[in-house]
Amino acid sequence: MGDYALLFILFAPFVGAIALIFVSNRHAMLVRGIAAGSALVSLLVSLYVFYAYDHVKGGFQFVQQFEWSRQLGISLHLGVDGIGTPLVLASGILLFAGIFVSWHIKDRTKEFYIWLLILAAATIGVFMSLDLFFLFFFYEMSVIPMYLLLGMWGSHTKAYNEMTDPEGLKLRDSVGFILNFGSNSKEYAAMKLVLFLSAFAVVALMGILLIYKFSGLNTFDILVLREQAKLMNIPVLGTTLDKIIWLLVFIGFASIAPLWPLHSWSPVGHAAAPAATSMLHAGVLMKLGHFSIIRVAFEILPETTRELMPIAAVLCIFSIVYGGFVAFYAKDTKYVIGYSSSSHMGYVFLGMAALDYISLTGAVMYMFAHAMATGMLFAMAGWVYDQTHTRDIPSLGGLSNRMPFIAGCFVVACMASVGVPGTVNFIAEVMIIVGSWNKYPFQVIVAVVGIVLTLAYLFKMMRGLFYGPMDQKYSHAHDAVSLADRLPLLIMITVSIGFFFFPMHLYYVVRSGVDPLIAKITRVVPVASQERETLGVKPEAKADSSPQNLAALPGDVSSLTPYASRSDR
Amino acid sequence: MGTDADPSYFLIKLWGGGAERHYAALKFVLYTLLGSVFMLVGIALLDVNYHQWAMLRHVEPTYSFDLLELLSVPIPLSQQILIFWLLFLGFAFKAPVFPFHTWLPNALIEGPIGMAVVLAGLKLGTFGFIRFSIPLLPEASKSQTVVAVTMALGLAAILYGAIMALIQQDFRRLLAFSSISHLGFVVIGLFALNYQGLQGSLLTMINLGFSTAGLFFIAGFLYSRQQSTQLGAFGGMAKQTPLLASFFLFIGLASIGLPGTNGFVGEFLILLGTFKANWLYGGIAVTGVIFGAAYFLWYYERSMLGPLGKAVKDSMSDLHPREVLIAAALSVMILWIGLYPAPFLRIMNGSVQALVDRLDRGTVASIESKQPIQVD
Repeated sequence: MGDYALLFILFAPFVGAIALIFVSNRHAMLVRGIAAGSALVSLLVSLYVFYAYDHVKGGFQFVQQFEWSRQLGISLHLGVDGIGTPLVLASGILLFAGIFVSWHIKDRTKEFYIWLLILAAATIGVFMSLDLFFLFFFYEMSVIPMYLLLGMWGSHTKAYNEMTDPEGLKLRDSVGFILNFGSNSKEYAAMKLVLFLSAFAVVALMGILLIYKFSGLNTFDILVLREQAKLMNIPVLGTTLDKIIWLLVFIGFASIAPLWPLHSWSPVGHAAAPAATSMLHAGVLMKLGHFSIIRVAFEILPETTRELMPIAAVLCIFSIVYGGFVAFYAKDTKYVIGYSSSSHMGYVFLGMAALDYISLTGAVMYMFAHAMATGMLFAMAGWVYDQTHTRDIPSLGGLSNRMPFIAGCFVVACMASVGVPGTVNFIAEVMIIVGSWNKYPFQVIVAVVGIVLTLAYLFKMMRGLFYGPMDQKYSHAHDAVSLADRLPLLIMITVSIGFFFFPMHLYYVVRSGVDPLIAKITRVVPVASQERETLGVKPEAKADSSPQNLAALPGDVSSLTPYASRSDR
Repeated sequence: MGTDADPSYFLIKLWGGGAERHYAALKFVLYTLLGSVFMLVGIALLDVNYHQWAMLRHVEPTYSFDLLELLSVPIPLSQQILIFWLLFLGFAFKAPVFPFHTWLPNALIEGPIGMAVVLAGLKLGTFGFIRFSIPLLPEASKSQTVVAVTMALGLAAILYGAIMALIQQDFRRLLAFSSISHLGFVVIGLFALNYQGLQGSLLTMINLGFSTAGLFFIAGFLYSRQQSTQLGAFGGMAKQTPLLASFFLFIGLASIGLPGTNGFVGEFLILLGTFKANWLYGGIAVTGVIFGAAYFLWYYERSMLGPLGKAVKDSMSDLHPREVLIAAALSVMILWIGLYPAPFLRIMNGSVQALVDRLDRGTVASIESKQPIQVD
């Protein structure tokens, strides 16, 4: 396997989806079996990649390159570094868990699994793309399936299809439908999500195309662009080109993260989506944003990142506080978890904004940890909804008698989400806080308050769902008994707790990806040599000067393998 | 180009289904002929120019309409610009490019669906640009006004077509406006006048033959079941006709450019080329992609998903084997171009490169070489 490991991870879900096309919906077990089998292949190989990743060597490993179009400089270039590896693993775990969470879907089972597999495969594709074209390709591919998953298998709170507007038109047939911000229908959520994400994907695409145009290298390859692209100090529209590109890339990808003013599609989408889709959406799809910012903006424009990343440090405060308060007052289980996710993504932005070895490592580990915690919460919110057909917290209560296993797991999930010691979230949170303290003490204080807020709203929801008096109409609700129902929760709990006790491999892997990146971003090039670099037109000039630049690295980094020699091409 | 207007006239008038088919047929034929007249004048001017040049140099034959002969002759810039606009009117009516498009929705709705497939799938007008306008008149095509006007028209077409498609209740009208929007992409790709843009435009022209024509086939399948393509006749049909709904979704996603289908590759190349030419135009063009997703997904959701429509019969039949064959064949091509376009790009590579060279060197250079520029 070895070299071809990434191809197995990426294409197993696609092969599963294609195989499902030819199976009839009448054979429900066969459909589930194929979906679970292809997800299992993906999960096992991603586990292998995670443990076989050589963190001493670092850099991009398991690299595969297939030419797609030579004239345009596009190739299917796959490879994972220390940042991509844990996220690929998280996607593998959540896809496998998600298949079991949606075990009881009766309506068009086959089509559901096809789209779920495509969604997960596209997400995995982004995490391992080393080519801007394919990064965008998979990114865009992960958006469209969301429309169908929400629109076909989602849930809405009102009998929306029968509602009419003053003219007697059905609401879903009028144009105002798209702009109708008051509604809770799944069609509205699906349309909002797709329009929002494709609109901002287009913003990121502009950034990518500008990189392609102005680098003049006729390639989309990130490894080439990060070494040779000269995008600094080109005046455009009263500012410099690199700032415009950076902002386009940042805003485009921060929308899916979601950073504060761009978050509004996310909770609506979470609320409408079926459980497995919410899991993948909150668990890994949102991380595409952070990951793509790291991969594109951090790698290709390190100096601009140092200059402009404080934007994220400011906005993340609003993310954390706003998301936390809305989650506290929300009455709908999935809204609570949705807003808690967008609040928690603020921590990741804080860790990224500090541009520190510890904080960025913490941010990447937090992405992994949050995937498990939020995956559990959504899986259980979905289970409660399936049993009671409501997500309204005030009308629920006392379910712990009916479903003790779920109630127990919910406690663990809440603690994981808060970041109580005993879960990997704790380690990640502490690293973000410690790493960011020097640069952003105010934000760290806000983040700590945010943790208390998380505790408050999650335990409030837990109490509302599982304790207190129970309405008799829910007496038919039952627990997760069969192995298929318990397996996804058990897997995610095991991972969450396991990595608390054995975090070192995860830490080293992430650190091996973070170190060269931060070294490159925080490296201060003297003004004189910077000018020489940018004025020199020939790409050879850069290769000549690189040894001197490496000598200027901070002391603790120079003991590591130099960054320039790490490209495994 | 004139010869395809006459059969279309009778096809619409005699086999069309709509109440206004006589009006649509007449409108179509008048519009196309009006464009053709301008084009005829343009072609005559080309010939006159060739004649003058041939007389001066005593070259036989003294009159020629042969493209390869015409290519070897220099044309003064002012003359080129005049001829360009005359040809442009002809091709723009035919394509149709934005302000000359009004015959298309009428013709597509009133005419028989088989003709709609051919009309929407074959891009005579835009092919005219790439075969005649750009290689014959490279200096004019490069000139600032021409680029600015064509780009503006292309961008207007993208946005206008997409927004109009958003509010259509009739599926064939939606398709008509969506193809106007797609043709806007083709036009801006062409007049980006660089390798990527031209290649993207060529590929998109091929794509429209699979995806837009494919959607017209779908419209035909729907029409043969419901005798209408109005939204009111559909609703929740995915339950009754899963195969039809699946192919509808797949071909539709190809038309809006889902990664992995041909639409994505074509659109991406065009945007790439436009960005290379002028990133302001590129910035406007990308917004068209968003509307594209909106109009198709919204229409699909209302016609195929959700509760069963009132007009939908329980006994509605799914696709027949003959229809499956058509849809499957198109789907194979869509996936092939989408996943591995290299063979197609390689075939087009030579001609596009020649076109770019021609644009670089202009008409005068070809006299020195004494060799007609190889266009394909």
